[in-house]
Amino acid sequence: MSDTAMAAPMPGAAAGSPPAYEVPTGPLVPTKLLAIPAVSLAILIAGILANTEWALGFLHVGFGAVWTGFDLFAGFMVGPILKRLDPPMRVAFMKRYGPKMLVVMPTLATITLAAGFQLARKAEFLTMPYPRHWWLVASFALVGVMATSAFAILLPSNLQVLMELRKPAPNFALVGKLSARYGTFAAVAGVTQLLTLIIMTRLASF
Amino acid sequence: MDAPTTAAEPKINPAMWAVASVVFVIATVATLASYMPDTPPHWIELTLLGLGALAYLVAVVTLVSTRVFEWATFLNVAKPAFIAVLAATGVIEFAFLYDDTRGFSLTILTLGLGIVALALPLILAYSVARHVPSPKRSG
Repeated sequence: MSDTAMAAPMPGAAAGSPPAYEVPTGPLVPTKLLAIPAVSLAILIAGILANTEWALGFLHVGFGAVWTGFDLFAGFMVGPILKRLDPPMRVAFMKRYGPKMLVVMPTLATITLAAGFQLARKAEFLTMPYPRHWWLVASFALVGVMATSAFAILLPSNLQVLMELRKPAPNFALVGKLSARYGTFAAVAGVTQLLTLIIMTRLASF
Repeated sequence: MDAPTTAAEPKINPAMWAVASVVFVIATVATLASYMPDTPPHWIELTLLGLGALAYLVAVVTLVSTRVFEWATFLNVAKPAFIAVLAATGVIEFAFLYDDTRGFSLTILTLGLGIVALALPLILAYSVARHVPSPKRSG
């Protein structure tokens, strides 16, 4: 983020030489990042219209794998590291990490779910008889857990941190608390992604 | 000039009610999926979806009744969030239509997506605006 303005001193800075906090002043999400959802959604619509197993499989498995990878990396690598970082480093990290996650994660989720629904219908997973159907129900339950933690915790926390960091005097205690919460629930998302992988590979083996 | 203050927080805030509405929608869709290829009894789906709509209405009422609130920030977040969610739900709805999902299932899924499209911007915007100091109203 290039547009910044000087304001409050950073917490945890060495006494005598407090570096001024640089308030980001540009758009919350850099305009060029919006190309990611625009191109991805165009590819998704093309895939839905093509309606071939290859196209839908690529979109569902490919974007789903990236989504899973991001969640695992965020939950088990970034989250724990973030919790141990000094506040100035945590703030600097979130200022750059937050906008990208704000754009990338909902895009990955939308494409994986939309292509997955069509693929499941085409491959007749939706009409499987019980007891196999339980695997499908379990996958919906996991999607519910993931969606709830994403919509209730991850996305709002990320957005709250980004908005807080745009204030001339951010509440760094709040930023620290929200970042820690983000790390914890990213781990929850990582665990549910692992369970989803188990279910999806089982469904594919029927 | 009055000192800035943060919004007076209700016991169950509007974002929590909106999250509850999303959870009811997810339960509705999961129930629908569990009955496929048949459709579940309509009363189950309508009850779950009705509870979702009710939770969303309570969220709106709780939000509107918040006496001190930073509405400008709320709208600044809610508007782009609504456009983004509308794009995502629009593509998902397109997939339903293209796949010949019709009748009761389509109605339930469309209404569910509608509730989600309204609830998500509220959750995001309230989560941000609740931490923004707002000038006290007089009276």
